[in-house]
Amino acid sequence: MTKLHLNWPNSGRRGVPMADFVCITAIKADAREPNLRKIHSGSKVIGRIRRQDVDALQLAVHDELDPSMLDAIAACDRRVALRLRAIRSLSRAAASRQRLATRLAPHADNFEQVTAILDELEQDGLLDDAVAADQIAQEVLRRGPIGTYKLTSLLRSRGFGGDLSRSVAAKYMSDRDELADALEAAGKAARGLDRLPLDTARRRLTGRLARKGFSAGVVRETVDRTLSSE
Amino acid sequence: MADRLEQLHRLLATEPGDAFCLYAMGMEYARRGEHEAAAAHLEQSLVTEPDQPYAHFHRAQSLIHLQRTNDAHAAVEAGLDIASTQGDDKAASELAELRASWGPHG
Repeated sequence: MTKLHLNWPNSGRRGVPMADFVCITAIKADAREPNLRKIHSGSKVIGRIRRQDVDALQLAVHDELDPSMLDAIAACDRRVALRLRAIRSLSRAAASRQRLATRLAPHADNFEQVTAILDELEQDGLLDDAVAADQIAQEVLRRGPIGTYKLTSLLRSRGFGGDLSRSVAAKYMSDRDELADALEAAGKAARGLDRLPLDTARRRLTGRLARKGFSAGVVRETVDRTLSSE
Repeated sequence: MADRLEQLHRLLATEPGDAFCLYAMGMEYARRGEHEAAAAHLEQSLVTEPDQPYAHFHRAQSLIHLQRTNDAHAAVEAGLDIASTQGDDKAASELAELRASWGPHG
């Protein structure tokens, strides 16, 4: 952990060893985030922390901060930074609680800190596995047709639970025509197969469609129709 | 059905003015074909964090959809300046490609 060593503000003691404690010269509201306070020591901001942390640490202007208090402020500051990291991660793409935890873990002091941030995000309605699974399913299906098994396993690989993955996949696949989707997928998957012996082409197309998660019966019918039409 | 845009609005509300959230909203609006809102959010993102060549890139694309050709060219030039300052060859080449795709009268 980096210990903050700052000169006394306006001390004029240039060139002397830095003090082991600092003085709070101002506690200002963050212009962009009303719940945050910037703790100033002279021209330096020594922490951007939550209002409730200011209260909990009983910080006030003119307080002299010893190294342990500086560490406490730094820990609160890192918590705010971790939450911001979580917000930015969620703004880039929807994620499951488990996936977000994995992303935050390397930047957190401990696992409890990650859990606290995730709980807070859930309470604020910013993190919801059901909503995220829904959004990811829509995004995946926008890219091209896939089968139910593939969508389920993809959601599971993104950290969603088995029940949720299955129910979201079922919801999105129930009103789709799996055979039509498989035939559409086969259009791309069959490229270049016409130069191969029929047995090899059948085997390869079957594998490609199976990997896209279409059921065995649909794959068989799709392969028959696709290769007989070539 | 869960709405990604609604969620992005909520995320932005917790970090107002955050360049990342604004960029994400710009991208989502662009994906929906709402280029006026896309360009506005990307511009706001650039006000907070000017050194984003790809924000200029996507803003330029939205501006072209809005037929604001001069503004789009200015956005590409701004993006190219940043990319060359940062030594980001990939961004520079993509911005140059975008400009070339518009042709001489684009």
